[in-house]
Amino acid sequence: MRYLGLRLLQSMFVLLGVSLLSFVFVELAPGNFFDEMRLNPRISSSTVTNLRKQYGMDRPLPVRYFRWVESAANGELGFSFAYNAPVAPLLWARARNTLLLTGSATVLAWLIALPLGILSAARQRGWIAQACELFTTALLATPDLLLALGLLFMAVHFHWLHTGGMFSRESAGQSLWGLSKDLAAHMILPVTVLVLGSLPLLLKHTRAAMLEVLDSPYVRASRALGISRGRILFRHALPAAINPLVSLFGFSLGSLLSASLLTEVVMSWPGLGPLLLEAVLDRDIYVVIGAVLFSTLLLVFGTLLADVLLFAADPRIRTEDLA
Amino acid sequence: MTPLIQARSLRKVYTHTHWWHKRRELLALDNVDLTIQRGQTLALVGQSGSGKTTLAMSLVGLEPPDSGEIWFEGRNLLAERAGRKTRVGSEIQLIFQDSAGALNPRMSAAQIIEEPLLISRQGNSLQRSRFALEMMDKVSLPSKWKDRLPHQFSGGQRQRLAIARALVLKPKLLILDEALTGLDLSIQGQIMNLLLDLQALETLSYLYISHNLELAAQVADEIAVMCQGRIVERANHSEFFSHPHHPHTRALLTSTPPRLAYGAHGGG
Amino acid sequence: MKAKHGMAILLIFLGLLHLAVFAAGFLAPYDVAEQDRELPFAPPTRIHFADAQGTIHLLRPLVCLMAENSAQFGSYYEDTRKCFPIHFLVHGPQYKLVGVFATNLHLFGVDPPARLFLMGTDAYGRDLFSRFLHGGQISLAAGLLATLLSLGIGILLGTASGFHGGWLDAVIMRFGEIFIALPWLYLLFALRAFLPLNINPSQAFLLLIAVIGSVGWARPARLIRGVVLSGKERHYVLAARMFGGSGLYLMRRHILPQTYSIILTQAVLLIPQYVLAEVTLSFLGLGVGEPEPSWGNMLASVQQYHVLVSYWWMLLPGIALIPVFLSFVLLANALQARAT
Repeated sequence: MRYLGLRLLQSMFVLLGVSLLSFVFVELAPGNFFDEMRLNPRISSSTVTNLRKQYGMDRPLPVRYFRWVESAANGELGFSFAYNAPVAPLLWARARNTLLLTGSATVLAWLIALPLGILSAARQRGWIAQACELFTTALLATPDLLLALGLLFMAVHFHWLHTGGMFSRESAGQSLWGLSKDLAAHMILPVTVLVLGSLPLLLKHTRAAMLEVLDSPYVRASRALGISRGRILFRHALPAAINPLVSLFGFSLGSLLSASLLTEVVMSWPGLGPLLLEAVLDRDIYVVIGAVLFSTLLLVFGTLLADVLLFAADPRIRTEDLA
Repeated sequence: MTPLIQARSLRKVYTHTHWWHKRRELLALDNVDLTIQRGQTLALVGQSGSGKTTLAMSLVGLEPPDSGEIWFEGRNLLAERAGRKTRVGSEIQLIFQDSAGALNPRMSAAQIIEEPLLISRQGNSLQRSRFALEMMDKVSLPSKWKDRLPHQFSGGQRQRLAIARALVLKPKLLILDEALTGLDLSIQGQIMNLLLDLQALETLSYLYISHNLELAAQVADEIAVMCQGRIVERANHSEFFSHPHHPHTRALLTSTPPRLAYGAHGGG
Repeated sequence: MKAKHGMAILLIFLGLLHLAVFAAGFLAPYDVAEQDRELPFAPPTRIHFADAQGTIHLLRPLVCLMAENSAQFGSYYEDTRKCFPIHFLVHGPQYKLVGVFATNLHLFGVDPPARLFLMGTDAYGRDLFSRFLHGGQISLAAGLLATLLSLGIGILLGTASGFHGGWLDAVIMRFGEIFIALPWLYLLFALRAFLPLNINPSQAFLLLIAVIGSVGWARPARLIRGVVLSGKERHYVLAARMFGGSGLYLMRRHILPQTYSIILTQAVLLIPQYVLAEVTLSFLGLGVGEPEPSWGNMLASVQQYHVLVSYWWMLLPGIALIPVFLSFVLLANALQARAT
């Protein structure tokens, strides 16, 4: 229990640190949203000054920080200059789209990687292991950017699938079933890119975790005792390999919001990624800070969850407390 | 006769603190007194965890005690050490149990022996290499092996190397922390003979630490028993075996072969 | 034995690559800014080893003139009646080798009006091959320098943390946790967001290196700290302490050498990551911008539908990245295999 309390405290500290760091950077940054406006001859400089006052951009840093924290507590998370709306709802709407994509991709990737990883560890010299090895290396050498562009290229040339966006224009007003089919069709390309992108890491770690356990003395002792391979695999080896896998799972979970930035931009999927890019180019700082905080929150949450699961699953961690 | 080294009321506590207020205190040294005369060998016997290594670390200056005094040749050693931040004092040296871990695997035998001279900035490069060859001779290591790396030596040879290195700065007290444990029986005998020869040659005092009474008995003038941070018994060789006092000592003796009681000290 | 050969081959390949990029000015037939307004989006020039009469020219391959197809706007045909030989060691546009020696010697080229576009041209009629080589200078250098920065910070903080321990260790590690906890790409974006947007390419280059390098120091720092922590307890370090060795001496002579292998593996892992970071940022318009070429901004135009559909050669700079990353990945694998 104390262990968890400590971890929670650590996470809070990290979030606090992130938000503070972001604000410090804002202070250091030359130029802001309103500079762009100043360049526009149709907007008078007094309007700009008034707008600045209105948004509180002329107050000193600590004041701005506290007002932002207040706004975060109110569920607003600051104000977007470009969209003229509070940041949080904006983020949330986009985050939903991103989570849809990355959630499906993560589930799919784990579904593929786990059995393949276990198999390739169990039968090290089999063709599955060799194929996985080749596949992983090839994928590691191909950056996400290329995967996305390449798949896009093929889709366009072979007129396979819908490229770009979440829904086709024609699908507006269709039934729920029709909408879902349309959505799924649009999801295939980005999800494929995401799955291919995350498979190498998952495969590598699953295989490594299983190998380490399968090689350990007590598993070999079990083999010597004559316990069947299947039973060893599922009752002894797999539970022991859980540790690194749970951590990996937490990390997978945590990076749900951030893994797809590039893919979303390339495939025009209306998620958090394109929003962040836009905000960076527009210097819409509260959106940037909010998006970074959002995804950090998820990452921190994911790691925390992994630690909780580990605590529950691994009796050694519980007893370590008493040592 | 002023003893070479006299430690009084040494006390050391290890505290293990968690963030959440759980402190565990381990009393490693509980008011330990220790005296060793010039040219004498004191054996310190005890189980693992009794505090023997902590005592060694305190004496040699690697882990200063929380309280107590150490007088070395009439000088207040702890006060001196507190004054000079880096130099620990080369009068007392320590030989570790694992010879491989005690030698940098990337350094040659000559470099290992020369290191103390290098650190204390003594002599030029030519003098240092000559000195290294002399030391190798002293510990019966062929000088043509001066460029070999530690892994190319056997365990016993590595300990010879460690001993050679320890003697470079001419210490008066050499602490051997389980230095013979783990070596083959015949090799133990060889190293022991080397140590005895060196002791006679350089008038060294030894603090021989071991959990093995058998080995200790073969070299010691006096034997002390340590248990849970305290020295519970101390007697000269014959007294020790004929009239043990502390129950712990008796327990130790009953678990060792009877021939020890008649074992001639100094014999190989 | 096989593993040794493998590593040697990888190192040679990477070495050649870096050499080629280094000598970009010499290997590239054209200047990066040179535009051929008549040939925008031209496909890669075909190289012929036999002329129209059927004579084979192995040592002097031929290149034929490309002209715009009057029937179909934007596409080209090859005029096989007008062919020119490729010359080696020609004099072409001036450039500075290593940024210092001005020369105009190029490895190969053709006499005008013929053009040799090994990878085709972009929207402005600029030779993609030349831009690819020069862009490599920026992308690879950014990766290398950012890695140096990251590792430098990591080594400094990691050794301070591990050796000193106590409050310094706690502060540095907590600070590092923030960096590890943050999603890498988002952090990069955020950092980039808070810095000036409109800067000239050389400033952008330095800025990029600073941003990328300062994001990734935490993991190397943590690893090095681990090695230092365990390293300073080694008995040979304790022995050196007994001889009066100072902290600095211990670090230099005994503890730091233990970190070399970790530093090497980290470097091999980080360089491709950081090259990719530069490519990504430039691709999205946040890195090195026009007119300077970088592997990233060369791919940016592929996002446009009509480019994707009609001009496949625009993807070539991207595809050429694969062998680069592959060699780094294989090298990292080989190093890890050697460590165990």
